[in-house]
Parts: sequence; C-alpha cells; structure tokens
Amino acid sequence: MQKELLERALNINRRKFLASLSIGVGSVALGSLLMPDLFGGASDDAGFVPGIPHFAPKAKRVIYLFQNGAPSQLETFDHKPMLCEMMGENLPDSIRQGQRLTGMTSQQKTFPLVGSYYKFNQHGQSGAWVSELFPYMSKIVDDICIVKSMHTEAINHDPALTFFQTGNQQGARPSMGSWVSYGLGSENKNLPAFCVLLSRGKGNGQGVYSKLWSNGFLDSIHQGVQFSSGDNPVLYLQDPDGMDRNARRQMLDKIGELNEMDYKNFGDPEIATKIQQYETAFRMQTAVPDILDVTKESEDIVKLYGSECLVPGTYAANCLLARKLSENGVRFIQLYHQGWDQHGNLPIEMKGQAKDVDQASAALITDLKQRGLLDETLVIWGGEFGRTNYCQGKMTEDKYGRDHHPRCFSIWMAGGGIKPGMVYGETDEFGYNIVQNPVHVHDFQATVLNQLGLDHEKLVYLYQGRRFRLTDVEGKVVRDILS
Amino acid sequence: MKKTGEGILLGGLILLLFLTLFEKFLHIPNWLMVAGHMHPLFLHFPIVLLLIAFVTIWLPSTNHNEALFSLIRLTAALSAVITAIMGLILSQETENAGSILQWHKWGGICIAVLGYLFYTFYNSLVNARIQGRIFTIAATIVIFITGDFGGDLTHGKNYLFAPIQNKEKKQVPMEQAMVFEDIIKPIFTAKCGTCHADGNHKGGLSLDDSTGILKGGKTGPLFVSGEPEISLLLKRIHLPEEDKKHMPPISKTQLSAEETVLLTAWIRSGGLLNYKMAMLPVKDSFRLLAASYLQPSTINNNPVYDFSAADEKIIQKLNNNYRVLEPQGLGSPALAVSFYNRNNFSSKSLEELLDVKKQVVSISLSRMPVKDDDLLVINKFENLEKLNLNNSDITAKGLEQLNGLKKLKELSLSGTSVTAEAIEKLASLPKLSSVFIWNTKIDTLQVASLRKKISKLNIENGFVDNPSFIAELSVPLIESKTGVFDTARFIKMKHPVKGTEIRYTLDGSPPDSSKSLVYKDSFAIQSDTKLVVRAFKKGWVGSSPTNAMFVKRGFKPDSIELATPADPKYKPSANVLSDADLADLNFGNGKWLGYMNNPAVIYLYFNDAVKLHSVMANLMKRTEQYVFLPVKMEIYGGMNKSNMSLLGRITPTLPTKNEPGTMVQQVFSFAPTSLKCIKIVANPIQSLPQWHGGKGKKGWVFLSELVLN
Repeated sequence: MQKELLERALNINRRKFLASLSIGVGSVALGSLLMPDLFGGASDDAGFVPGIPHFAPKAKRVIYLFQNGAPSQLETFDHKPMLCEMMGENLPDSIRQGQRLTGMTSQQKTFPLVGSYYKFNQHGQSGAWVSELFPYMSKIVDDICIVKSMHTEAINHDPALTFFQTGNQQGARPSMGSWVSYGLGSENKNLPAFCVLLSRGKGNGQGVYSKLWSNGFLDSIHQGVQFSSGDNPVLYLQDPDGMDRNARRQMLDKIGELNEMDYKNFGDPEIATKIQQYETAFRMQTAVPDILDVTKESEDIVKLYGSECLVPGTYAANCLLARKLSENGVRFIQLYHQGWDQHGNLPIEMKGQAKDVDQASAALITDLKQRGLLDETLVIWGGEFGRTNYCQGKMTEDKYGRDHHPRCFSIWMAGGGIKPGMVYGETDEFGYNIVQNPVHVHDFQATVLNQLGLDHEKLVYLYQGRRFRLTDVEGKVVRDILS
Repeated sequence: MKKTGEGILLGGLILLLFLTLFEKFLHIPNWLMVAGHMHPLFLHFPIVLLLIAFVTIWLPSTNHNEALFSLIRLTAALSAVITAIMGLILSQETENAGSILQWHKWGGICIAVLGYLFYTFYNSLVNARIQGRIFTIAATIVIFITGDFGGDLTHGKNYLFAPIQNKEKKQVPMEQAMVFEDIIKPIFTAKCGTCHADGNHKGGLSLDDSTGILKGGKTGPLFVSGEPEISLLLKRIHLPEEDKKHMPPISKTQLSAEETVLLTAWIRSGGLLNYKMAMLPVKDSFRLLAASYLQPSTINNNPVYDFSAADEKIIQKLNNNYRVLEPQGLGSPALAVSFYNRNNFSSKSLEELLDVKKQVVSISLSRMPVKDDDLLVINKFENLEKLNLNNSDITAKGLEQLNGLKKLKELSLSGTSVTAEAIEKLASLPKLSSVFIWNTKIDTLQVASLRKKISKLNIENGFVDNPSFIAELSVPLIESKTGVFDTARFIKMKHPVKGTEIRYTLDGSPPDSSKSLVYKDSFAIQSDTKLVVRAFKKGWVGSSPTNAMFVKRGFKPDSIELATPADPKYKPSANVLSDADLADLNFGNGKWLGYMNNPAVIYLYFNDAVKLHSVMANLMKRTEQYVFLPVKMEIYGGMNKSNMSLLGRITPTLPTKNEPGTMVQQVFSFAPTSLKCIKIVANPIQSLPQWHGGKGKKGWVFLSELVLN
C-alpha cells in the first residue's frame, strides 16, 4: 500500500513538472530537429503508440490454425521419394550429425528410415507437392505459401508450443495474440481482440493449456478469450438467472462509479482495465450469440466446410466460427486442433487427423477469398515442430511411428500479403536438415507482425527493468515470401 | 619585417615549384614527415586567411586599415605556400597515388601561386576593379574544389554530397546478379573505397575492378582462392582494431559481421569475379549468404498520400463502439473505417464521417443495413480505395451512384442483390481492379461474359456448388447417454443439417438408406442394444455409420471389496465397477482398474439375496499397450464369502498380432441362482507371446464395469 501511495504522489508530481516544462519545450524542439533520436530513443517503448501500426499493414487480422502435436512434414508437404527407396536402411550419421533425440528414441539401437505411406502429387500452377491425405488443400495450393524450412529450438511439445506462441520456451510471456492486441488494439469493441477455439481429433494427443493464450506481463485486457462448445460458449458471460439486462446495466454503472473512485485514490491501471472489461463483457452479451449462430449459414457454406461445421466443438465448426469472428473484427483467432502426435500407428492416425482438418482448412481460404477478405486476413496452418525421417518403435509397411524433430518442418500461410502459390525453403533428400532458406520461429513471428504493420523490434514492453519483445533479440522478416 | 615576409614568400614559392618539378627524386626524412602530417591541420589557415584577404578587395578602401589588410594578404599567401609544401611532403607517403591526389596536389600548388599573385599585384587588381573581383571569385572556386578533393582523400569519394544522394542499395534479382559487380564491389566501395578506389590507391591497392583486385597491393596479392584463412584481405580485417594494419583503419566505418562472413564465403568459394551468381551451386554458402544480402534492408510499406491528416480531435469524436476509425500506420494520414452491429447503424452515422472524407481510404459496411441513398454519401469519399458492402441492403440501382470514386480499387458486394448490368457500369471507375460478387444473382454465364467484356477487372465469384461433386454428410449425433442403464433408456438423435434422414438398426448391423428404420422421435429401449446410425440426404453422400452400446443392468451390488490390490497406477475407487459407465479405450482416465503382478480378486455383496442369471465384465484388449484379456477368468457365487460355488469360467484364446484395440464385454451366463455374494477372479498373462514386442514380459488386465442381471 505504501508503495502505491508513493507511486501516486510521484505520478502527480510528474504531471506538474511536465506541465511547467511545456514552456521550455518550444526552444528545445527547434534544437531537436537535428537530433531525432534525442527524445524518442530513450523512451520506454521507442516511439511505439499502442493501437497504431508502425506502417501500413497488409493484414488486419490473423487466423492461426494450430495443428497441436506436430503433424509429420513427410506425410503432408515435404515430398521425399528417397526415403521410400531407402526404406529400413539406417539413418546415416553424416545426416544426423549428433542431433539430440528425445528420450523416446534415444535408446533405439537403429534408426531405420521410413518413407511416406501416402502418395504425393503435384498440384496447381505452382506444382506444389501435397500428400493424398489432403485432397481439399491440394486444390488451394495456388492461394497459399508453403514453407518447408521451418525450424525450432525445442524438442518437446510444451516448450515448443510455448515457444511458438510466446517466443520463449518457458511460460509467463504474452502470447502472440496478446502482443497483437497490445500493438493494434481491438477492431470491434464489442468483441475481444484475441479469441481461442479448441478442438480435438482422435489421434494421439497432447494437451493445451491456458498459459498459451496468457497476456503475460501485458495488461490483462489482452488475454485470449476461450470460446467453448457448450451451452455457455464464453464462461461467466451470461447473466445469472433472474437478472435482466437493465438490472445488469444499473449494477455495472454503480460498480463503475465505485471503481472510478478507487482509481482516483490509487491510480492503479488495473482498475481502469477492470472497468473496461465489464463494459466489453456487457456488449459481448449481445454480440457473441449473434456470431455463434450458424443456423443462418447457407447450404453452400455447409457443403464447403463439410456438414461437421454445424457440430459445435469440431475443427470444421471452429473454422467457420473463426471466419465469422474475423469478419466481425477480431484481430487474432487462435485455433488448436489436438491429436497430431503420431509416435506409433502413424498412417491410420494421420488419416483421421487429416480428415478432420483438410476440408475445413481449405474451405476457410475459399470462403475468405470469395468475401474479399483474404487479402486482409493472414491464415496460418502448422504445428510446433516436425517428425523424424526414421521410425520410432516397430516398423511395418503400413504401420510406423515418427518421433519429434525440430530441425525442419512444414507450415503454410495464406492471404494478408503473403505470396500465393509459392513453396519456400528446401530440405535435404532425407528430409532431415534444411539446405535452403531456413525460417526460424522468431523469423516467422517477425513476419506475422510485419504483415500486421508492426515492427517486431519496436513492439516492446518495459517490464522488470528490461524491454521484452515477442522475438526476444532475434527474428528477421522473411521478405522473400511477401507479395 | 614586411620585407622578410616577402622574402620568405618568394623563397617558399620557388621551393614549392622546385619540389614539384623533381618530385620523383624526393626522399623525405622521418623528422620532416611530421611536418607533412601537419598538412590536414595547417590547411585551414590559408583557406580562412585567403578568403578574408579576398574580401578586402570588395570593401571601400580607407587609409588607416590598409596596413592591416596588407599584412593579412601576406600571411594568407605565406600560409598557402607552406601548406602546399607540407601537402607535397605528405603525398610522398602514398605510392601509386591515384587521380584524386593528383588533382588535389595541382590545386594546392595553384592556390599557392594565386595567393602570391594576389599579394604581389594587389594594387593593380584594386585599380582594375572588375578584373580584381573576377580574380577573387575564380580563386575562391579553386579553393573549394581543391578542398573537396582533399575531403574525398580523407573521407572517401563524394564525401560532400553523400548525405543528399540516394543511398538505397540497388536491387538486383538473384538470377541476374554478378559476383563482383553486385555483391563484392558494393562492400568494397562502401567500406574500402575511401582509400582504395576511384583514384585513391593507398598501399598500391585498387579495388575498382578485377585487374586491380587480382594485382593486389604492395604487400602482396589480395587473396588466395579458396583459402580465406591465409588470404591477406581477411587477415587484415581480422587483426585487432588497435593494430596499425587492421583494415579498415579504426577511424573509418568497420565492416559489418555480415559483410565479413560474406567476403570469407566469397574467397572460400573461389573468389570468382565476373561470374553469374546463378551459376554457383544452389547450396553454396556464398550463394545463400548473398541471397539474403541482396534483399532490401528496409522496406517502407507506407503508401504516399497527397492529403494531410485529419484533426486528432475529430477522429476521436467519431470513434465509438460501433464505428471504428483506424489510422493506416504511424504518421499516415489515411483512415480505415469499420462499422459493427447492425442495430446501431444509421444513415447519420455514415454522414458524420464526411468530416474526414478526404482521409478515409477504406470503409467496411459488411452486414450493415446500408440503403441505396447511403451510397450517395459514400460517393463523396474522394480518396476511397476499398469498399466492403457484403450482405448489405443495396441494390443494382444504387450502385450506379458510385461514379465519383475515382480511386476505388476493391469493391465487395457478396450477398447483395446486384446484377451483371450494374457491374458492367462500374467499369467506368478508372482504378477499380477487384469486385467480389459471390452469393449474388449473377450466374456463372454472366460472370464469364463480364470477365470477357471487362478484362481489367478481377471478378471473384467464389465457391460454386459443383453438381458433380457430392459432399459426404457428417455422422448423426446420439444425444442419449450411452453405456449401462437400469430399467429403460430413451434414445435421442439429431443431425445438424436440415432435412436429413436418420436411419438406424438395433442389432449392430450397418443401416442402409432404404430398408433400415427411420428415426422420427425419441424411443425407449429396455434390453441390451447395439445401436448403429447413419444419416442420408438427397444431394449428399450418406454419412459413415456411428454406433453406441446400451447395456441393461438388473442389479447393483450394495458394496464391493477388492481382495487383492490393483496396481497403484490404475487404482480408482472400487465403485467404478458399478458406476454405469463402460468408459473408453483410454485406460489412464481413472475409470479402469488395472492388474499385472497379481490376479484380480473382487467380491460383490448384496444385503438381501438376489436372483441372478448373468454377469457381464467390461474388459479391455490393447495388445500394443500390453493390455490382454485375462488368461483365465472365473465367477463364483453363494450366500456368503466362505461358501461359494463356481458359476462360470473362461480361458480366452490369445490374440494374434495386429488386432485392433477394443473393449470386450465378457458375459457369464448361468442358471438363475439366489446369491448374496459374488467373487470374480481374473489372472493377467504372465508371459507375453513370441510375436509381441515385449515377449516373455507380464501383461495387464483392465476392468471397468461389472453388470449383473
């Protein structure tokens, strides 16, 4: 309490000081014309104004279709015919180069190479290779940019996932969506800027935790809001039984007054946030049910996404919902589809997972495109790392598993100023190492922010005496894939 | 005094001319070199003094300051001569002097001579005013040019105008880039050019072209092809910065880490010069590094607008919860406006925007009840580039009013009642390049003809339901709780797609679209049922079957005793055996009791005697996870624990390789018997079969439910 009072006093003093200083500012300003960095460079956030992009954005919104568990690049987009020819042969040491493995395969005596059970074909004008597991995505290859040279630092799910979402393997940092919310603010003030949707496939799964959409040290208004599939899609949003909207309004007004008084006394910014959150929630009460209502979607749209899109909680339904949220101005929509962790029984499990996501992912692109929204919406599809080119456990022709592999994996991006119909990066013939145009997770994050008009080096937040960024001290915008 | 000065002046001048004439033979002792090194310091005197002296000729002459002016002229001329001599001495340090040094040298000598002439013939120059003034102007120009050459020598070529010149890296696509011209030369020019290019050849090294590079400098050749470690170029770069021979010298801009790496890779890959980058191997590290070097360093994405920003206060006033104005970037005057919430939209909320009509470049009115009259307002936004009218109430007629939007590029009209004719009229908008008309009355034939007529227009008509493509329905949803029920259970099903027919069977056989029962309303079942359901609809492929099992239970034991302990990892409460939940294949979910090291021995007790005729045990089989059926399972019954008789025994056959994981409902039937106590014994497999990955090891038995009838 003492500390807060002192803070408050200091705040007032600072204000007085700044006011009297304004007289002198004119003359200083003249001199500073030649020293543009004199004031800007020393400020906390280096010339960043929350809510305004650094430069004109290509994308206004992001839909991130996270494939949680790490889908194998070798059965999706990275076609490696040599692995089929060398089926069962041991992974050469010259390729592995002493790479650390997880505890799940490090004890294996041999590392037999295993090729894709599924066939690959070239599609579209770009001639991109896509596995037969994804007949719908194959049709949209000319709208997407496949990046085959992603690599990450983590080798297990939780750190890798946390790294992708927050730029750091340990938790407690703000999620990408929170950074975007902080950087750009919300577009539609009746909805949160950052929404999260979960679904689960039948494949071997890994959990997701709410720390992945945490606001970290940022203001709590930037936290991701999870929409669930039950009767109460946004928890604690509905009025309790017996309370009508007017009573709610009156209550909020009174609480607002009390909070206002408190804020005047203590000046704690979290109080201001609280007031704001009550108001947003009140407006969400009318906005959310309208958006969640899928009964008005035409049969064309249902066919496009697959009829599962009408079953709440499925990936298809979440894709449709993501489109609706995005259309209504939600900045960052994060989907997680769980069940991509194929350590064993890969061919069968991946078939199921692919069936879950293929049609709806492709439909989302088509749907955004026909509404003229694709150029301002960045869509991302991908997992947290790749899978090994050698078999984990027992291997038969139609039954094998793959362990975690951070050195290369494939994702795709579409819309939002990303070059369509492009395949970027190259891995070696073994699908183990990257040989051209590597894209680190931080590079990817820098690129996403760049498309939203944010300079990843300037989007900083001062906390505990240092400046934090989503990309930490690394990251380079991948300009090759920008249109 | 004056005489002495004049003497020194003449002597100095002559010395200067002499030294110049016999420069080739000069050999400067070290102590005199110090004087040479003072040239960059001393040269400021003649510049200032000569300029002051030149001014005097423009001033009205008065007698009492003439003596002072004369002294200034003398000192100026003297300092010019001395500076020139110093410069000449300094120039001896540089071998193979380039053209800039030559020009600077002759300029300096020229100034010394001009200074002398000005002093000596001052009187005649004053009398001939015009000629005198021309002389001073010309001399001033010579001073500036010579000074500029000097600046180029110390600070690099084009030092003076560099700040106002376009410094952007020339963008060369990788396919056309040449090794030397586009990668190496720009680095040399930027970081070494001060001393080793454009007429500066310090140390005998010229980095202008391939001849100079291959020749090297006076210490030796620049590099050994393929061996960066022993190449002079990189040795010099890697010397400690304080070392005299470190390059570039510590006072100059240093090479960036990226540039050093690039030069290393260049030499390693052979130090090629007139060679196309594209001809290098794809995975060559020099090629890869060069590719990232060639990318533009910064890209300014901000489009340029010719209007100024709106007043911040007006923008703030217009911003509310349902109408959001967003700047297009820091410092950009352009605004993008979005409207939200249909009920809060009114024509007035659009009209109010006219306060910033110059600044608005994008308006999103998706789903808003926009009427044709509102388009008249929109037509006033002269700088509008993007307009979204998806699912609004506008008509084809209203669209004609949009004739003033000369900058409009993108128009979204999905879900509106526009017509092909209206689109055709839009072609008069000069900048319009994309129109979105999905979900409108315009049919595919019309779209094709529109595309033909207006070739500049990109018409997106979206997903068209292809009659030859028939989508598959998703499975119906069984809403009733599955598993064990006591007396009866109501079966409720639904399908999210309207007009779908749900057909089912109750015996586990797959339903078909013609003969199987059609689901109309919820119905009750009263015995064990294996429900299989599929959905059908015209124009769709029928769904795959989905099934659910319902097991009837007659009696529930009053208490359960686990006589042997379950494995600590899979040891939920004994009540899971009578919780009416068959659970699923995930044995770690707290609904399964697991045994491995000892047999499962379980007692079920009834307070009052019951008449039973069957016991069903829900077991799991997942061989890959070491989960097998028990090798032997027995059921005993009686009126108390110590007096029981065998009711049933099974010894299942061992599964074969690759059997899929399932739950097995093992039923024990016996003649109806009155009982108060039941004992179940299940023995886990002690040695897994030969085909199994863990052959010889112990296996698991998992049990989730016991159903008594």
